[in-house]
Amino acid sequence: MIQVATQSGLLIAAAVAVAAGLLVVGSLTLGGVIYHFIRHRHSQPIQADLRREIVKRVNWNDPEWQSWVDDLDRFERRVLRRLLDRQLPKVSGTYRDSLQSLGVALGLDEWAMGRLNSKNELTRLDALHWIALLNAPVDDKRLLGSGGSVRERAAVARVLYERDGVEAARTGTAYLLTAGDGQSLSGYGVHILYRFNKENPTALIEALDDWERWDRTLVVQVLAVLRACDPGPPDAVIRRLRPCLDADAAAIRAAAVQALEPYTDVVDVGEHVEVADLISDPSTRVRSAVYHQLSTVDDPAAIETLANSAIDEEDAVVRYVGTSELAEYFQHRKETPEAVRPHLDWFEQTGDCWQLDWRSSWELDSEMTEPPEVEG
Amino acid sequence: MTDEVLLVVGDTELRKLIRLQLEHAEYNVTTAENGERCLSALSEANSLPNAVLIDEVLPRKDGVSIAQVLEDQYGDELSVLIMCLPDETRSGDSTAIGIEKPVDLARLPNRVEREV
Repeated sequence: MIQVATQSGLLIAAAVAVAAGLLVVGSLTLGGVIYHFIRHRHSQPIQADLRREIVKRVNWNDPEWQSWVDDLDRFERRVLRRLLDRQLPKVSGTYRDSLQSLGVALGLDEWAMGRLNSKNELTRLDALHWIALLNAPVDDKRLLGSGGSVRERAAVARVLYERDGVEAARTGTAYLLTAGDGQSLSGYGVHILYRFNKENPTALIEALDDWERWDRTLVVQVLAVLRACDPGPPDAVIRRLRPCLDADAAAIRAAAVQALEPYTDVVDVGEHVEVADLISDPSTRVRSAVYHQLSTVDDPAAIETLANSAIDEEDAVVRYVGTSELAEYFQHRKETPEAVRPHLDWFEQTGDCWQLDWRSSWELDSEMTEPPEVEG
Repeated sequence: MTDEVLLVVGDTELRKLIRLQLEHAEYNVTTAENGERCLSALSEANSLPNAVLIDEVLPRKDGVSIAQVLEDQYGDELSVLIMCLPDETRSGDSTAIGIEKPVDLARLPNRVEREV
């Protein structure tokens, strides 16, 4: 009896504790929302005034930022900092230069430098963010030594890019690919790698010599960036892609096939790469990539290879991918070879089935009509 | 007479900044935050603005599509300027005049003046 009473007492105490906890959390949340709402409302007219003043002064020969900033109170300075954060990435030229001087007058460059070695990663990221926005001068040794996490490395590379643009392609590419000991990049890191190499991917191509030391994801990321960049010297690229086509990981082989895309118009890839081996790759991912590449080459022999292989393809989904590439190729052409036509019809029927009811590939496979028999 | 510009920019901060800069250069500026508002503003206006300045990146329908609609609808009566990234200047089938992003606001009024 006493034991039951003790147990129910404990339950009530636990319920009260939970309710009290919820009440505290709820009150804090509500209080936070009200605080931010009031602060936001209070900052709106200040923001409008500051914005108007910025535009007025930025058009002066000497905006006299320092004297203006000195007259602002603490809250106005905080609002101004937020405004600069929003405006600086959206403007360029002399306007941006002037806003950067305003940031310096606000002391944001010194603030950032002082926090570059902070123990808190978010503070360090914020510091790097402001160094990049203000294009604040920073010693390379200190900068390149500051990247700890994957996010910080991307932020450091951004500083290099904002400062030197593509001139820093070699340093930036090497930094992104080596500072993390071959670990994969963040999404922003991939973006910066692309910006460094977009017009001239020489640094990226040369870095591929070390691909075997990298994490699989990093290799795929680099190959994806290479594919998106303007073409580099074809021989140098193909020479470096060939070993990737033999990689153990299917993701790397597929990415290497895709990275060949910018070069299919300038060189006969078939002379350098064994297409037959790629078509018989055990990975459906690789075969899909090969079918896509074959369709992008404006060469009847490649289309014939695509037609023959797609028709014989054992995996239904990859067969669908292959025939869809064929369908796209013949869509804008006057004549479709008789041998190919039944397969395009099959593709259309399968496409209808797919659109009606999207399911996983094996379910779809069972509902697909059988592909037509290959003649001859 | 003051030249009129219809500014179509989805990003609030950029829209406010460009508006102020053009007003500073004594343009009369009306704004729209997306393509639909732009089209309705033009259809409701008594007279066409001297230029429409459109950001390529807009919510819902993109700036290039809106520029094409304006070209089809108003032809040479309307100067259309489109703000886009360097690679995409004169992107799509639009014949709109490209202005490189990020925008150099200091030069923007002159640029608009040249095209009006």
